[in-house]
Amino acid sequence: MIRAIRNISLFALPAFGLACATTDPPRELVDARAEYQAANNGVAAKMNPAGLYEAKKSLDQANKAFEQEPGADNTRDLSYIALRKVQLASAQARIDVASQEKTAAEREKAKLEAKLTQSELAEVRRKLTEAEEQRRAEAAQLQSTSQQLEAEKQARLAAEKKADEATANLAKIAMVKQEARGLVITLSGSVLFSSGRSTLLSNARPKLDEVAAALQKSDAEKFVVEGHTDSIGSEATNEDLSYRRAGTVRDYLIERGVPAEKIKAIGYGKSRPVADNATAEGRANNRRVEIVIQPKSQLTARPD
Amino acid sequence: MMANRLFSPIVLVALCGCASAPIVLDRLPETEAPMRAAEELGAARVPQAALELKLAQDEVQQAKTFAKDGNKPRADMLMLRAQADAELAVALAREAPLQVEAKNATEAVKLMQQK
Repeated sequence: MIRAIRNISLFALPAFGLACATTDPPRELVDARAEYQAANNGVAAKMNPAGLYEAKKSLDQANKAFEQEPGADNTRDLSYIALRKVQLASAQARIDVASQEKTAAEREKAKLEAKLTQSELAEVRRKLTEAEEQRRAEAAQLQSTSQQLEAEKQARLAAEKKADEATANLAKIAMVKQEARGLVITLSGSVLFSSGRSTLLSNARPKLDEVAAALQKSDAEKFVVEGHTDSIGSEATNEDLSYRRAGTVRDYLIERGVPAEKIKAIGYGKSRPVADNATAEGRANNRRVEIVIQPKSQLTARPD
Repeated sequence: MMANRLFSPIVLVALCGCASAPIVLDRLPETEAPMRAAEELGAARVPQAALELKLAQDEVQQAKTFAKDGNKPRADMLMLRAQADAELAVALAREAPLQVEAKNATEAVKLMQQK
């Protein structure tokens, strides 16, 4: 179920702005909320309440944007800014704490220095140098780890951005909607194939490239390519044509990098119309290829 | 008079040109100031501050591209992001050496108290 919800947010909702309770908040907003909670329970609440208040205002703005436009760039950006403001409030509080500690320690140090002999002071200095060297080595190790983690985080954010772009591109070339059987991407038959044929039109390839890019970024376990026809012609002919067309699309998507083990093709012929076959417009709508993205537990594909 | 007739089309063209002129980034001074401050405080030597500064620099570049394309809302938002990153870079660049100094002073006191 969680996976299904993630799929919905990945493809359909950002593309169509269909805000609903199932839309996940962007990672930046989740991080900002968590950081604010931590800061509010930590040193920032005591040392830098003004900074934390500014951060809270920024977070409120991000939360409001999420309620109004969950998938918008604006929401992500406001969340990012809120996260940085919380981090800034915490950093400023840590600066104040460190500054106070330093002042107090230096005052105490001056008092103690007056009481120690030269040799005692020399020994203290030697030990301090050793401790500092050890700390420097530990810090270098910590920095290396933190840089690695940050690099991984940036790579993940870049991948998410690419997924969003793929979704936006997909919405320009196909209809995408959430149904009980899964997320459905519908491509018009006339866009993909000539009448009665199952060879892809050259114009179809860029569109399927966009679909392939989006599918590769989905974490769904299975994709089903369904071929559908109108009611003209015999059942056997239509079923065969729809299956061949679905197979052509499946093969092309595999060629473009969609894992073969995740994708199946089914031909439904004229058995599942979405519009009235009595009109030319209805028949055009019925001639289509649908790509269904569904969780494994819902998979109903026939073996091909 | 002749000059007026000759110049008026040029003036018109110039006025039309103004309509599609690149958008000015309103927040550039507010963003560049903390970026410079972070550099001067040695952000390059503090990995997390260096990262924030780099993010800010990249965002300013992206904002300039959006502004050039006439997309002011996106450019403005990227400038706000850059400003937030740059301000954090300043704080992190200030914090790191201060933490070290505080720790050194505290440790010195402990050692002296053992004597």
